[in-house]
Amino acid sequence: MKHEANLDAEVRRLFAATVEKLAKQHHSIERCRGPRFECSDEEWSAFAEQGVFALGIDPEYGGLGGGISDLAAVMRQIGYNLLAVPFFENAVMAALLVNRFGSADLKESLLPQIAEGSVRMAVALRDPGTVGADANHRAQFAGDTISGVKDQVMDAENASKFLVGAHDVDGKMVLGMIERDSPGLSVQHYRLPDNRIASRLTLDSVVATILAVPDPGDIQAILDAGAVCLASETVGAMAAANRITLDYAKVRRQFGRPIGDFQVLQHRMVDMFIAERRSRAVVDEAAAALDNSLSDRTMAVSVAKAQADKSGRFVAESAIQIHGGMGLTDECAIGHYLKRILLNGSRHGTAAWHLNRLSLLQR
Amino acid sequence: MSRSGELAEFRKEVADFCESRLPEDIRRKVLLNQHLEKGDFVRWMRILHEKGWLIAHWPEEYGGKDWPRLKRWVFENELYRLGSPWLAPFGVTYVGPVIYTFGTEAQKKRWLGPTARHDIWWAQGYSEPNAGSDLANLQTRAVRDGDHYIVTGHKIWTSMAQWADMIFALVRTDPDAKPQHGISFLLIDLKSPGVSIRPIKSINLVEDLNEVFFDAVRVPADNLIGEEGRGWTYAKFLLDNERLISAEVGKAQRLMEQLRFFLRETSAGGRPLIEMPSWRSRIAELDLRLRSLVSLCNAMFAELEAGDDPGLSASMLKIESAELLQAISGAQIDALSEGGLSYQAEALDPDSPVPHVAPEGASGALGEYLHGRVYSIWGGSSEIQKNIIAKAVLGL
Ligand SMILES: Cc1cc2nc3c(=O)[nH]c(=O)nc-3n(C[C@H](O)[C@H](O)[C@H](O)COP(=O)(O)OP(=O)(O)OC[C@H]3O[C@@H](n4cnc5c(N)ncnc54)[C@H](O)[C@@H]3O)c2cc1C
Repeated sequence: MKHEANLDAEVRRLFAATVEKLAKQHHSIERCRGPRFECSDEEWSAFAEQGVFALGIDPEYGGLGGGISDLAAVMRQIGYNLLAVPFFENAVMAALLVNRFGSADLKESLLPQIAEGSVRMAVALRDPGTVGADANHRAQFAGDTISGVKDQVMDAENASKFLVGAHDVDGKMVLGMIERDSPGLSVQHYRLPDNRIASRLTLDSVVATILAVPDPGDIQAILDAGAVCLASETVGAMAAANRITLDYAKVRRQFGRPIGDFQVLQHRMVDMFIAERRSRAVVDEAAAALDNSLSDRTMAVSVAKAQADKSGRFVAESAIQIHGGMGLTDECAIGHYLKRILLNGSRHGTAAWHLNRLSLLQR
Repeated sequence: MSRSGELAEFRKEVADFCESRLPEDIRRKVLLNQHLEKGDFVRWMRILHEKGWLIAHWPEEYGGKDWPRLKRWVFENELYRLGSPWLAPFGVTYVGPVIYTFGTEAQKKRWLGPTARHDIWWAQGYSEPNAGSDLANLQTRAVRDGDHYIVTGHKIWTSMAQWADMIFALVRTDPDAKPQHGISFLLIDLKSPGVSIRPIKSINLVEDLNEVFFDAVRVPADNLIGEEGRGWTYAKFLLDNERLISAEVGKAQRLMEQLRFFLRETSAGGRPLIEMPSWRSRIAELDLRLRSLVSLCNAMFAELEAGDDPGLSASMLKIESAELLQAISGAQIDALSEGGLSYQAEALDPDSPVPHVAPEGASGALGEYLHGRVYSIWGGSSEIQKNIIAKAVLGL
């Protein structure tokens, strides 16, 4: 997949309409409420049939050849509609990683499967107790097996293959692909507060197919692309939280008038609106910077992720405040948006991590 | 001995007592922000009652020790700092004082004893679906029928009603009077026929909030506190007490300790977060706010003793402590996220058999952060408190 690749305008428009329709169809706060919130086989197939997972994959492997901007646009719909579909794990991370590091054979066999949704993958890059933004991995690759622990692996319950970050005896980074039913792999599932399921993988000499990583900087670039996609999901969640809050402020009446009449709430909602627009702008620009390999892309990525995470918190916390007691209930959508925003904020580098990276880039 | 010397000594006495008598299982749940059962709260409050402290802020004639507000505040917050559960205020701080201030002799005799011993779990029945910030808009009706009132209506957001024996409710006895004038303060037995309670699941996944429905519930007229139609005055008297105890600096201190713990436990680039300059200045900033709040509380409580209107200090303290508590738990979330926060819902339940993947206390910290959104909403939102101060203090 070439980053600079992009869809032509008409294809992009049609695709966006398809995704929007699909996302709306699968949006359900009732499902977010649990007890388990996961992407059903039907939902997965619906997205697969419409070619959504093919978006970023090269046409030569059966994909549409879209860029990071295109992937980010889908992520925005996912955030807006709070979907559980593991688009991020598959169409973004797995596709980018396999495309970049896979052997010619692997690409030929795996990318078309990802594109058509006939394989469901999970990505295990995060070590316990780490920020999850960089390419340092404690898991060890030796012989042809990997040992170690990986955390916050999403959709591991349904995935048949995992991509695992590790390093070899010389301290060089590698990626290993392991199969779901491999001996030595144990998976502990746990419920995230937004009722999605995450997993901790414990690998004890699990046989892996190795994808060489000649330069850890290349992994960093893909982690960065992931960061922008998550930031875009957060922007979508912000947009939804703003819309819901605005609607509520118009209908909720206290003191004989809609609460939206109170100036202090108006100003707060204006700040929320600006926060969303500001975040959208930096995320779009960061995605474009990656697609065009601009020299300041690292800076753009960190601006986007830190801004979206911080603004997302502000928007969602404010949305709750404006909802009053209603905002504190599980029934109300707002809390589910806050939880998604928090979780995104803890993945692929927190706001603090990206701020720190920005500080190192200052002259 | 000086006043502050006396308080320091008292604080130490409270700390020693808490260290030796707070049951370990309860302290642990509190320190990890896990879910507490009714029995946990009651067990500890009874221990405090035996010691003579639970209602020491009541007048001597009703079994108290006439503690000034400052001493009560020091007492509660020293406990909270050390991991004491929240002292359910509904009886001992909310309705108890209303009863001994405005009730008849017969009502005092009947209700104060069991309230002091915490034999009754009280619930607070103020809010309704259309009466939140605009409390005076409440519509629950109480119609006199001989020596009873017939109560019909719908309360919402009633904390811990699922555990409660009694509710003190604001009811409308005169629909024709101006909103504030037609309200009365009524004690209702929640086991009465016609009462039903429906739990509401909260953002932090617990079910401590409820809706309480009254369908032609017969309540003895003897349960009306004070005069019919004067309920608003008693309600405000109670709300001042509610807002004053919201200055939970002890809890803020405990959460700061926990934040430091998370920062020591979590590293980035091989260094504990607590050593990073950015985190050090953030903690210093929070500490600055916390210490300022403590001073503000000291100043406000001293003014109260000089006879100032408690309402205004209460509004100020409520705004400040809400913002501070939220800022600290927000910082906890940031710290945990940096270290690869694995939020795990199961870890909130102390009895869950699922092995915990999160750092100790992490899931509880998330629960506290989510629940903590409420500090700026309940008991009169921060927006409402600011309206009050703008009008009543600044004269705007
Ligand atoms: C966890 C929890 C526990 C609670 N426990 C109890 C309990 O035990 N008993 C009980 O009676 N109640 C309880 N409450 C209710 C609580 O007191 C109300 O939620 C609160 O009064 C706010 O009312 P509301 O939720 O209807 O919000 P609303 O009044 O609808 O407020 C919505 C928003 O509008 C703003 N707003 C409203 N009016 C104005 C104005 N004039 N100017 C500017 N802004 C304004 C508010 O600040 C808020 O941001 C509890 C609530 C929660 C969430």
